[in-house]
Amino acid sequence: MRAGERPEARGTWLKTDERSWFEPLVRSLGRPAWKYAFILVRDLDLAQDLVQEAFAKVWASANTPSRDVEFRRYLYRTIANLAHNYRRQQVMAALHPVTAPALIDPLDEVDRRAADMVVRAALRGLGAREREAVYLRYYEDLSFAETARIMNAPQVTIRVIVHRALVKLRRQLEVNLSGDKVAIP
Amino acid sequence: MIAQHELERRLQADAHDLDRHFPRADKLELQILARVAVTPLETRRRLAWRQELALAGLFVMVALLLVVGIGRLRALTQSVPAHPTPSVRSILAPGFRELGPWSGPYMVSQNDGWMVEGEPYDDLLRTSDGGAHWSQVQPSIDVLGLSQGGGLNFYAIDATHAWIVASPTSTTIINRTADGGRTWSSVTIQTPGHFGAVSFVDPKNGWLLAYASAANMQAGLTIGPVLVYRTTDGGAHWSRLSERVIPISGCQWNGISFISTTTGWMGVSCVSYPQRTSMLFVTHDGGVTWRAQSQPLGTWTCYAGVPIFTDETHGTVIACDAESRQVLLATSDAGKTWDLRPLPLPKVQADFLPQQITFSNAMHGWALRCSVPAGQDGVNFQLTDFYGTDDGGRTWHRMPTNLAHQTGGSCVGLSFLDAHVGLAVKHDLPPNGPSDASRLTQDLLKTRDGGVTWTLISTCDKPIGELRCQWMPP
Repeated sequence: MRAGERPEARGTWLKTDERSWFEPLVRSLGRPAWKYAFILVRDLDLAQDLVQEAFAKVWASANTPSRDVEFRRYLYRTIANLAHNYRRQQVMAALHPVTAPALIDPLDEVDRRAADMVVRAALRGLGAREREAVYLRYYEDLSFAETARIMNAPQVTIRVIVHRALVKLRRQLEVNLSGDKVAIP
Repeated sequence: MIAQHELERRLQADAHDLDRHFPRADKLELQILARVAVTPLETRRRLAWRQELALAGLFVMVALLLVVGIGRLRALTQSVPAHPTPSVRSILAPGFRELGPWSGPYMVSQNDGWMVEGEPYDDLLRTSDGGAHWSQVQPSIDVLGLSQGGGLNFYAIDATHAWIVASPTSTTIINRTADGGRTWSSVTIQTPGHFGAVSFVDPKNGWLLAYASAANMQAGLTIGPVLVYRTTDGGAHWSRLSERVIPISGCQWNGISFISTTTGWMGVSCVSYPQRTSMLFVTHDGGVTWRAQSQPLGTWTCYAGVPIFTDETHGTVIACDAESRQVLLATSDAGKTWDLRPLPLPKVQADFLPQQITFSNAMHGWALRCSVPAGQDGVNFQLTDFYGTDDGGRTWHRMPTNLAHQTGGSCVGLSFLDAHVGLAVKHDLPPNGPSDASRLTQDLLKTRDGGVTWTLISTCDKPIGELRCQWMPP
């Protein structure tokens, strides 16, 4: 059996201990999926949890596609759904606040080490769908068609989302640019 | 000013930095594999041999039915040589007034008009002063029934009567107004699948096209058998026209349109049959029975829209021929026969391009050619050429116009009220071209000389991140 090929794709029944097809996918997609989740939820630890959960879900699901490209699409959609659920829970939690200890934002730590903090800050100002689209398009260098497939939306919608996001980013960067300038008396 | 390529360069540089500084995932991979090891698989039950045999028999039956169905479909149509299949989603279906970023204004008189704006769930706007001022008349998303997402379809027949049809799940919600959008009433009907399109010929008589199965709409595919619903009281009550489902699978229905209470059409494009085919279906009994109508393209075409009539006898349909060229089917006898006429537009491509073709009467029409400039991404569709016809589409000429200058080169949504007066909307593009990000504006332009000279009559500033804006004269 080739790596990345699911057993049932060859007409055999999946055994509970059969993981040979899955491990290479975890190795190749674990870190990219973590980065993707991080961009969505802006929290390294939470992103790690989401990625674990997503891999577990796609492993357990009978509908998980076998081909690598489709597997990644399926995995990314699962991560996006989990991130969406998380945001919804956050909204609910905000409606019913409880006292929680202050935590260090891991995003700040990554940001601190990143070279272009202005771009990262501007990215954080985008909406969730915009951030997701920009990340897939420019950070994973995917085509509009593939981005649309992962985000489960028509290609033209993705083009509009990306266009609007870029306009917002440019505007934000303009503001930062002008904010950096110091008037000489 | 930060140029597009500079922003993209910075994003790519940041992607590189993120990758360089992002933690290694060795531990994560082990955690994932450990988690997977203790995750039970979804139960897969092995079928008994009798069940497997029954399943195999079922497959054979389905295959036989499919062969018979294909045979019947081919018998309905004429056969011509096969050719590669292009995308059928490349052309916006005329008359199918879908809410989308490229919807044009829809003027019903010199002063009164409607406009759908932005992406789905944005605004429905109404003007009563020729387009200078627009007010929002759309009911809320909750009223529309779209809190959970879903499609939206708009149809208006005059200044006061309009319908917004929403289909959040396997129900269809029809919102209707009889006072120009000031008040709305809604009715919900149970449909097996999502709705496809809506059409009215007067304030009372309307039809609704619905997909026969929700499963066909998965992944946004507007394909599968369809049902037709009918109203005779303006949309308050709907009845399904007979139990007969128009039984074509693997096809995209491009809308429905009627010119009387008895005669109407549906355009259909099929791509998943052994060979592609597109055709017009016609009814002469108010939608109860339908048959494929012969037209000069034959059947092996890549697209067939729905007829748009400018009077009782003259109408046009956008289609594309066997070589994927966009063409026009025109009728001057109320749809009994159709003539083939050229369009000055490129072949249908796989990518989306918002082409605009509109007629104000039997003779006068306009076609807009838009394209994405080489090397550019995004939605900055550029207005490449502007064509006009004064003989019903038999010949087209490139028009001298200041439209591209007025829009900064951007493409527009277009509509004409008569041979002279027309409106064009520039959606969501910066005022000074793609590189200008100072603000996000939409402009409405008007022509009174058939499209040669355009003047700005209204503009709206949409704050970044906001969906709505106020249209005001400049």
